[in-house]
Amino acid sequence: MRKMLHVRLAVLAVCIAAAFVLALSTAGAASAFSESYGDYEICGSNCYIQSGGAHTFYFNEGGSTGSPYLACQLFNSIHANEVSHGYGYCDVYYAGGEYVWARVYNQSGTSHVVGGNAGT
Amino acid sequence: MMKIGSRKGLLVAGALTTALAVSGAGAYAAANSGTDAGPGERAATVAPGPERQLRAGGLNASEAQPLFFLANGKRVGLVSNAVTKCLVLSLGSRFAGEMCATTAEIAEGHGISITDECATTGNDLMEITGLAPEGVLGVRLISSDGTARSASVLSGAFKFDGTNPVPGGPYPTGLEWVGSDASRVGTARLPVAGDQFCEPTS
Repeated sequence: MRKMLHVRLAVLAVCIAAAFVLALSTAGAASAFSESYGDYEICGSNCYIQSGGAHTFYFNEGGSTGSPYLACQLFNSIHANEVSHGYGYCDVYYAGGEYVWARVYNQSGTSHVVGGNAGT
Repeated sequence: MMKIGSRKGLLVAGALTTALAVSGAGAYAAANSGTDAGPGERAATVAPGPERQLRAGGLNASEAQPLFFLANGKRVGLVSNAVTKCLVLSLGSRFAGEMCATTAEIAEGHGISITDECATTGNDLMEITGLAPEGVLGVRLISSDGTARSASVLSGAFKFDGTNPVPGGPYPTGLEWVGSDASRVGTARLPVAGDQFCEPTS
């Protein structure tokens, strides 16, 4: 009986430790809604990947292998159109609270696999 | 005997917990120690979301030292370790962006970020922020019409406040690094193709 209890204690301790490590690894990533999109090859002449729908996105990020010119965008047809440019990674923030779409453009001139992630 | 068994159980649990924590920390460090990977590849080693580059570099936005404000109201701070430097943007108390680069990337002129407020109802602001290579004291922003603007380097960082280029008008094309004797010591391109600063909304 005692041996079973010890095993359970050990399993519980491992579970707690695993949860702790998982919590550390995802700290700061908590978001009410987030969507990953793209993650496939697009051309480099301003081709883009786009979120599946509009949402009250606060941030949008894009990444690729290497250091191609990437542009991240949060926009709608009314008040929002925020764009940010970076090398191999970009992120853009929009604090207006409106429903916006998320895009990541490849401006490098050559094809790259590009992935995006947007969240509220 | 029971007491010995109880201690054994606790010891086993403790050892397992320690081993898990150590292996997790080791895996984290290993995933982030590679400096050959590009910014996107480093970011991919941690969960997506705000502060991703910072987390990938083992840095914390709350430890950023304030540097300057941008015309769009965002505050810019700097946080770094032996491998990575990051500019941290915040608006009020809210995180509002990041730009991280390794020493090698900064030397290569890849520690540069541009943000554009492109909505027709906005102020049309454009902010160019970045990290300058070691020894650079000033930065010149070169325009397609041959004109230039200058900015000083503060703690390795610089900024240019401006407005988005108008269609058909001159636009920024690159940077010149300025050394202690006011001479050009290097150049860098901007991470944007030609005059594609703003993007369409359709």
